[in-house]
Amino acid sequence: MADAQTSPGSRVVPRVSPDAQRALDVTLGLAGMTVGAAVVAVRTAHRVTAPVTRLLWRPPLLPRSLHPATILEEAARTGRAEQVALRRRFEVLLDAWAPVLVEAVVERIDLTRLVREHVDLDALVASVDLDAAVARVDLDAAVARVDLDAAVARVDLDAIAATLDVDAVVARADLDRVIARIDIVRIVEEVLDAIDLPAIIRDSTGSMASETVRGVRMTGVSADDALSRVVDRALFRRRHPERPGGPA
Amino acid sequence: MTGEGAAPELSSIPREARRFQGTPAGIVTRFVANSIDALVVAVVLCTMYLGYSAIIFMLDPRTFEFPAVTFLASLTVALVVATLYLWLAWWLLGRSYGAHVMGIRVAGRRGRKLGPLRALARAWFCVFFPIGLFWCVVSPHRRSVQDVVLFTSVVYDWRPRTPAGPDPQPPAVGESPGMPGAAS
Repeated sequence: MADAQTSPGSRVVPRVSPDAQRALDVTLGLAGMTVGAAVVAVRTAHRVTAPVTRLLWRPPLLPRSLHPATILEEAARTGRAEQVALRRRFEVLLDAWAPVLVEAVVERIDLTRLVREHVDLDALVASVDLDAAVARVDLDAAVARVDLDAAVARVDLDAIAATLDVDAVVARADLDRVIARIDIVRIVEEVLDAIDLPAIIRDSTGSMASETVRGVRMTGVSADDALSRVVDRALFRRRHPERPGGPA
Repeated sequence: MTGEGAAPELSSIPREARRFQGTPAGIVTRFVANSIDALVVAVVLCTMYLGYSAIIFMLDPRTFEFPAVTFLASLTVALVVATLYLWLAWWLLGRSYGAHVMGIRVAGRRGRKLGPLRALARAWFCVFFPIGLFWCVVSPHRRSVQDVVLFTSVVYDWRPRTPAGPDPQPPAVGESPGMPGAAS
């Protein structure tokens, strides 16, 4: 009854003959009439039998607990409760057995190979907003938990320092700029305050600092020492450690 | 930079003389210092005599004659002048001029300068018993009789100024030498 014609674009377009189309319309019309008649029949039957049905569901002479409707409602309630209980029991069993089953399954599967072969990790990582993830991390807290002293103690700083080319580092340094930042005048003033240079100059250039006076004093010291040595020897006495020529 | 704590002290003392600074001075140095002090006293006495003569000359130039001076009077004045000179020098400066020239000073306990009473007692003792100086020749700590009696000492100290505090190497009187200062 129906032919199929292939179009240039290889699309199949069904073609129905007029007789077949008419037969199809008749069939659909009869079906519609049948459905309509059935609906009317059912409605009529329901309207007719409704009082009887109500009497059957709720017999007036029976107590309410013995009404079929009540019994069926009770059965439905019991069934619903059983269903909830069963679901809970099933979930408990699932909780208990699921890890065991998954573990048993995972043990038999090479997940790494599976992920490597079937998951495009590059695409996965590319889809992750790593900046947002890092921004959510509390790096201060993470660093605070790290024992930096112990970490640094394990580092061989001497070996690292030995590899440094200090000459090259110094050669790259701009020493002129470093010196320019130093307040040399203030340092000199502090040094002069600490050593009392004017007093030293006064002492060094005073009349008592001349070579003649120094020579006289040194001669006196030497003479004292020589005389003390003679006296000590004459008195069979050891040299006193406090004297200039005495033992240290 | 501020030199706190054990900062090395700069010194104008020659390197070869630093090792005996603060140690007791011997008889030769002390005798030379005393001789210089004696010359100072002699100059003072001469100046006093000339000043006295000038005053007399100005009062009556026509009958002027140099005043006659008896030995006893001269000796008395000389002893008084020497005592005053040494007392003031030891009390106020810690050393007389002779001691200053020879680089020594008189020290009391813990190397400090003498107080006025001890300086006066030592000056009087040295002037009236100068022979006591020579006990430092045989004293193991180079202490004269005056040093022993008055608990003083004479030490080498080339620094021009006497320190207010203790010596760097304080010559404890009981155990270190000494001899009456620039003067005895």
